[in-house]
Amino acid sequence: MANILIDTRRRRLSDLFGSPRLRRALSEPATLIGIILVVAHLLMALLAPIIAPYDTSALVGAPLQRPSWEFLMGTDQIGRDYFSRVVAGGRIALMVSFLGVAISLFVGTILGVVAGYIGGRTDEIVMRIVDSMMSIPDLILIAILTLALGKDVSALIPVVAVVYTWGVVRVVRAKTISLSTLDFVRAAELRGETRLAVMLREIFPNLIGLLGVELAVRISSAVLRISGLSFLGLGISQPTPDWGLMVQEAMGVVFTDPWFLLLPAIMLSSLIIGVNFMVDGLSRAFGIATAELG
Amino acid sequence: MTQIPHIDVRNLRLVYKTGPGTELAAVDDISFSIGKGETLGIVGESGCGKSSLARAFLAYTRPGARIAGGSVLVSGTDILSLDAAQLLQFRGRKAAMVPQNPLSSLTPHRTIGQHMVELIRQHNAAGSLTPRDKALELLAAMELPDPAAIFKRYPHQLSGGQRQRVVIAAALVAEPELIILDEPTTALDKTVETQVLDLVSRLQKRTGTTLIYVSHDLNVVARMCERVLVMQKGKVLEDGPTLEVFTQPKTEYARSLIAAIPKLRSDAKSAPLKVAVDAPVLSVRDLDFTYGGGGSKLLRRLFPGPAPSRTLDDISLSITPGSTLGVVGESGSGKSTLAGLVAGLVDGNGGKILFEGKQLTGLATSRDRDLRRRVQMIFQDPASSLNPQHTVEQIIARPLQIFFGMSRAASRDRVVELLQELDLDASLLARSPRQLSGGQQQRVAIARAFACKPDLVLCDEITSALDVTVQAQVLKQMKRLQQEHNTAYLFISHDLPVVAEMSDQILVLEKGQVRDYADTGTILTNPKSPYTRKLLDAFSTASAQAAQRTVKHVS
Amino acid sequence: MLASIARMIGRRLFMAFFILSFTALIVFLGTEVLPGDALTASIPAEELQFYSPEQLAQMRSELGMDRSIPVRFLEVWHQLMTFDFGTTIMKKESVATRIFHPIVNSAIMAGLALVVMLALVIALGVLASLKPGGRLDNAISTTTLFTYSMPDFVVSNVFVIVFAVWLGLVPAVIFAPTNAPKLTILAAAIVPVIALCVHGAAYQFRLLRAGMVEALNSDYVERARLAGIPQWRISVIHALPSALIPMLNATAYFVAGLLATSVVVEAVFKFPGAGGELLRALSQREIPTIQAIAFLAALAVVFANLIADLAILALDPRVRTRSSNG
Repeated sequence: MANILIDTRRRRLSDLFGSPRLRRALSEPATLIGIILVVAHLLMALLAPIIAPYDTSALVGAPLQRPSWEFLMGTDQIGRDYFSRVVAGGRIALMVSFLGVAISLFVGTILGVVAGYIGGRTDEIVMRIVDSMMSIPDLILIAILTLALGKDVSALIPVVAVVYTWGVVRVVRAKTISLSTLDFVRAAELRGETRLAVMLREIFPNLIGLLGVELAVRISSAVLRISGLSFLGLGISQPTPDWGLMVQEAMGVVFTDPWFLLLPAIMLSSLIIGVNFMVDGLSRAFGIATAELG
Repeated sequence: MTQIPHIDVRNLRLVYKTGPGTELAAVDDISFSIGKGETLGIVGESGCGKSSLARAFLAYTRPGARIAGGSVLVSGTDILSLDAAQLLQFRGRKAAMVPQNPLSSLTPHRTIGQHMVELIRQHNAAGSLTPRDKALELLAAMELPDPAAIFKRYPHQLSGGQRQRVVIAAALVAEPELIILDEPTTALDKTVETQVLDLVSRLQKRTGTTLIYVSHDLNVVARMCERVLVMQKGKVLEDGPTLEVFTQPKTEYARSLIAAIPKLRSDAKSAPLKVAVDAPVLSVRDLDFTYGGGGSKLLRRLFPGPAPSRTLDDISLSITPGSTLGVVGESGSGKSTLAGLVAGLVDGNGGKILFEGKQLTGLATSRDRDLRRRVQMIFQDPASSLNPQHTVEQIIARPLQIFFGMSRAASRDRVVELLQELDLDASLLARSPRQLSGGQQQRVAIARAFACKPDLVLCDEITSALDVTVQAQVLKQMKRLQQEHNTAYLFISHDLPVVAEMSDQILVLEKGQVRDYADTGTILTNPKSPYTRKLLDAFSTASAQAAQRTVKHVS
Repeated sequence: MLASIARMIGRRLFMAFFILSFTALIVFLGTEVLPGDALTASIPAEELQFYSPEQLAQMRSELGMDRSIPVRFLEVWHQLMTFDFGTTIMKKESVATRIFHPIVNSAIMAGLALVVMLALVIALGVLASLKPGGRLDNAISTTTLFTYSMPDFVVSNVFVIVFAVWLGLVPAVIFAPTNAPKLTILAAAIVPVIALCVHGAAYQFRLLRAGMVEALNSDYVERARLAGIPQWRISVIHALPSALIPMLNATAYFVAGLLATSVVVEAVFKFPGAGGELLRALSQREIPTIQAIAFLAALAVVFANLIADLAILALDPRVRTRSSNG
C-alpha cells in the first residue's frame, strides 16, 4: 500500500476482447491450425463411441493385421481394432485432465487472489507452500500420489488437481498483485466494499483471459504427464486405451510395425501442438502474458 | 540566420501501421529548415507526431513506423538514405538525442561510467585523454557534484536531476552539431527542470550547437527556443519566432492551445474568502506520518531492513465548505500521502484529522458509510482508476447502489444525469473505459465521485495525465460542479499555475513540511518562503519566459 | 551493500530450509500416511493375505510404525536432512548406498543437459531477437513451439529409432551398469541429453526471447541505438543481461520439469540413473527409496533456484539495493 501512494504508475490494461484482435489472430496460419487441431481433438474425444467401429477392448481379429477396410489401422498385438483404440486413446487422459485442472483452477484462483490481494502473512504462508509443492518435479509428485490414492482412473483426478493447483496460484497471485496496485481497487476500498467484493467484482473479471490461457495450457500439460505416466506403467492401465500406454506397447514391435508407435504418438503430439499454437496465437493477440507455459 | 540551412526537412511523411493494410500518418508532408546554431522548439499535444519527427532527425523510426516519403538533409546529406554502417557514424557523432525518461533510458545493469566509456570508445572521442578521464570531464561539465562517485553508480542510485545531466553528458560525448531533446524534463520536478534547462542553454550558447527541443510544455519551449513550430495531427500549424507565435498566433488551434495554459495571475481569487464565516468542513491538526515496512515480523527481526522515514511532519490546514485548498509540492513532498490519510487509504498517523469537527480515523473501511460517501477521491490516472472490465454505467452506478440503495432502473436515470452534467453523452453508458479518450475517462471518474453527493473531494493530480486543452475543460467543469453543489476541494498538484487557478487558499509542501500556507493572492504575490519563490519563478508564464530569453539573448 | 547481500542470501537459505522441510512433509504424507501404511504398501498384494494381523502388528512395532505420526515424521525429516535415508523396509539395505551411483549418473546427465541448453538457448535467443518478427525469428520461434509440444517419451523413442536403428551411431539402449566409470556414463548421456534439450531448450528459449523482445523495446536500447552503438553490442551487452532475468526467475519450474522429463528419457534409453531407480522403487513400493529420491529431486530444484537468485543478484543492481524486501 505504502508504495502505491507515492508511485502512482500509469498503465493501461491490455485489451482483452474485441473482434479485430480475434480476426488478426485467426489470420495467422499457426493459430488457425492450432484451433482446428484442438476442435478436431475435442470432437473426436466426445464422439469416440460413435466413430470407433469396435469395442476398444474386444478381441475382434487376428493379431497384428495390416490395415484393411475391415480394420482401418489394422489390429494390435492381441487382435483389438487399432483404429478404435487410437480414436479413443485420448478420452480418459483428456477427461481426467480437464476435471483435475478445473478443480485446480478453482482452488488455485481462490488461493492466488487471496494471497495476492490480502498479502502479508497470508501471502507468505501460501507462497512458501507453493514453492515447496513446485520443488517436487510434477511427474514424481504424481507418481507418489498415485501410489497413495491408487491407480484407479478416478483417483487421477484429485492427483492432477493437487499437482496443478500451485502453478495456478503463482500466476494468479502475480496478476492479482499487479491489479491491486491500480486505483480502481483503491476506489472500491474507499467506497467501503468488503474484501470479498473487491476480489469478486474488481479483480476477478480481470483474470478471466488469463484463466482461459491457464486452463488450456495446464490441460495439455496434464495430458502429457498422464500419458508419460501411462507410458512408464504408472498411470492408466490395460485394457483402457491410452496413447501413452499404446506407445509403450508398440515399442516391442517398433522395428517391424513402426506405425503402431507412430499413430498414437502423432495423435498425442498433434493435440499438444494444437493447444500450444492456439494459446500462443490467441494470448499474443489479446495481450495476455503467458508467464509460464506448460 | 542567413547561413545555409543546417537541417532541411522536405515533404517528410512518416506513417504507423495500425492494422492489416491500414496506416496512419504521424508526420504528414512537413517541410522546414533550421539554420546552424538555431534553437527550434516543436510543441503539440500527445499524438501530434512531434516525437516521431524528433526521431526522424536521426533517421530512426520505432518498430511499426516507417518513413513513407520525403527527405531530411543534414548539412546537405540525406540521412534517410544512409546505410547501416554510415548511420553508426552519424548517430551520436553528428547528431545526438536526449531521451524523454532518463531512468528508463539508461541500461539498469550498467554503471554511469560504463555508459560513458562505451560511447567515448565508440566515437573515438577521448582525444588525448583516457576514456575514463574524458567521461569524468564531461560529467564535471554537467555540474554534477562528485563525478568520480557518479561514475561508479548505477542509474537507479542517482536522483532524477542527476540522471538527466548524465544523459545530456552522454549526448555531448562526440560534440555533435545537432542535439535533439525529446521532452527531456517531463520526469523532473519543476525546480530541477529549471536548473537543467539553464545548463543546456549555457552549453548551447558556448558551443553554437543546433538545438531542437520537443515538448508539450509551451512554457519550457518559450524559455529555450528562438523559434517554434506548433504541430497538430502531423501537420505544422505555426512556424515563427517564439514571442510572435505566443502573442499573435495565426491559427485557431494554436490560440486555444496557448489560452489553455494555466497562467499565474497575481490578481487571481482576490474575491473575499469565506474562511471566517463557516466552520471548516475539514481541518487537520499537527498531522504526522511515517512509513513503516511490511513483511512478516519474524523475518523482519531476523533480517532487518532500512529504517522507516518520516513523510509528513506537523501539518495543519482547514477547508471551508464550498472552497478549494490547493496543495502544491514536488515528488516526495508528501502531498499524496496527505490525500491518502484524509481519504482513509493509509492509516497510522499522529495528530488529528477532523471532518465537521468529528475525528476521521483509520482506514476508509472502518469509517461509517455516511462519512465514506461525503469524502470522495479522484485519482491521477483514470486508466488506472476505472476498472476496464466494467461499463461506464456499472462504474457510476456502484456508489448509487451502495450509498443510496438505488435499484438498477433508478440508478440508470441518475447515471445519465451525471454524465450530462459532465457533458458526456448517454451513449457512453455501455462503453468500457478503454474505449474512451483520456479526458472522457477522467470525467467518468469525476461523475463517479459526484454520484455520492460529496461534501469534500480530494483531487490528486487529476489533470497531470491530460493534454492542456483537455485539462482546461476538466478544470472548468470542476469549478462549475463546485459552485452548483457547494463542494469543498482538496486540490493536489505539482503544477502551481493549475493549483492557483483552482484554489482559494494554497499550501506549499516540501519534504513533508509546510513552507507556505495562505490565500492564493498572497502566495502568488508575497510568499514567505524562498522555496515558494523558487517555484513561482520556475512556473512563470510562457510569454514572460520568451521575453526573458530574448532579453538574455540580446544582452 | 555487502551486508544487504549477505542478509538476502541468509533469507534465501532460511527459505530453502523451510521449503525442504515442507517438501519432506509432503513426501512423508504421500508415501506413509494416506492409505494403510508403509508396511502393507511394501508387501506385495498377493502375499499380504498370508500375514495375520498379529504378525503385521509385530512387524509394525519392530519398524517403529506404531508410533504417532508426528514422531515418525520427525524421524523421516531428520533422516532426509542428514542424507541418511535409512534402510529399505523388507530387505534392510542401506538406501544411501543403493541410490548413490544412480543419483550421480542422473546428476551428470541433468548437469550436461543444463549446460548444453543454456549455450543453445542464449545463442538462439540473441539470433532470434536481432530482428523480431523477421524470418529467422519466426523460424526459430515456430520450431521451438513445435518441439516444446512434443511428448518427451515420443521424442526419446524417435531418437532411439533414428540414432540407433537407422544411423547405427549408438546402441539402442545403454547397458552400462550404475557404477560404470563416470566417463562412460557421460558418453552414454549424450543422446539422452539431446532428447532432453528438445523440450527443455524450447521452454527456456521462449522465456529468453520474450525477455529479449521486451529489453529491445526498452528506452535504454533505443537510446543506445540513437547514440550509434552497434547492434551486437546492444543485443549482448545491453539487452541480454536483463532478458536473462525472466528465464532465471522460472528456474525452479524449469529444473523441476527437466527432472520429470529425465525420468521418462532415462526409462526409454535405459540410462542407469535415479529415474530408473525411482520406477523400480515405485513398482516394489520401496518407500524409503522413493522418499529419498523425491527429496533429492526437490533439493536439486531448491539449490538451482538459489543459484539463479544469486545470478539475478549479479545481473540486476536494483535487486541488490532493495534486497531486504525479499
